[in-house]
Amino acid sequence: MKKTTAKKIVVLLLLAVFAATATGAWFYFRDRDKRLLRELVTELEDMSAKRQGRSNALALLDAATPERVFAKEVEIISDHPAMKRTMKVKELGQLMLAMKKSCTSTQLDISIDTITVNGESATVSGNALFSGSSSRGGSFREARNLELECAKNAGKWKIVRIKAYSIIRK
Amino acid sequence: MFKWWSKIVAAHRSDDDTEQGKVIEFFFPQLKMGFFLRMLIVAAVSLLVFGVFLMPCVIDGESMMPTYDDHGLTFCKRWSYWFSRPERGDIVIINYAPRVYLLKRIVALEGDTVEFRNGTLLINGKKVDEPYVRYMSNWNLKPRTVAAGNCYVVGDNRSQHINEHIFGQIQLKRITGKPLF
Repeated sequence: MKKTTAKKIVVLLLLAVFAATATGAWFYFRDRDKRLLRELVTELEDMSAKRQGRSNALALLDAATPERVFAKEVEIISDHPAMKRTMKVKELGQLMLAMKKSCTSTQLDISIDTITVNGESATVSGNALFSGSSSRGGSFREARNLELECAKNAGKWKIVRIKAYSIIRK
Repeated sequence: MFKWWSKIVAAHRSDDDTEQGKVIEFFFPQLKMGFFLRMLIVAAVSLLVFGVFLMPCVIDGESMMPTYDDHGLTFCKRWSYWFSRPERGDIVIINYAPRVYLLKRIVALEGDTVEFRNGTLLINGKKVDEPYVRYMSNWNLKPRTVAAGNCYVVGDNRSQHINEHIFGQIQLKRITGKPLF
């Protein structure tokens, strides 16, 4: 292959990669609300995580301000009857703290399938995998279909309703 | 690093057409435009093949034994259901959660009634012959109908306790593909 031809191909390939990246970035960032909602989900993941070896105090601090993510009242709807209820944000924070205390590590992974924005409300749908290891030994891994209903208040998105259903039903 | 590399290339490079020369050239190619172009093409093709068409999967679990052993490796043919619909008996890879996939067998489709009686699978009230199930089972599950847009998946290893085995109704849209082998 001639040097000039090779150079042309490399330049063309680089241009193609650049164009694809730019298009992807444009699609990703064009909608401010969707970007904010993705950030909200990331914040929820961070808040729920407790890395192995991280001290209890620091891990608890991560979950100490649930109002960053949740509205004042959050409705939880699940196929588990015990989890079907409305919780105050402080109550939810305490539940998260208690969960972190009883685990040596926790991790929440959410993969977003769709984000639907309708004015001041939005729905984020996807899958969630909550995994970790208990202080008493043993590990857990729970997957759920997840739907987060969010509301915009003073320019900030907050979760108002969590719907979590089993992905596979016997 | 480039200096070090260039030294090796320079030391061995010449018009060395011997076997040794070819081997050295294979492991220490000259870092020319052509080399980087080949690397770029190999990387792009790999990304396309293994990212879009053939997803590599490591089997972690015994639910499909003896058909698939624990710690095995396979690839997911993602194009399997692009132009066709899943059928009873198909082994499928299911998107279960972020970065977690399930390897299961479809035993029933939408509208079918599924039941287990003393380890025997009954579809629409009729006993199903399952030559791939080799281990004894004592599962009992009351009849249930598969909802529209769903299918019913079960692993081949029914010797596991019914509560420990992940199986049941799942949305068809979660099926990612079939295992390659």
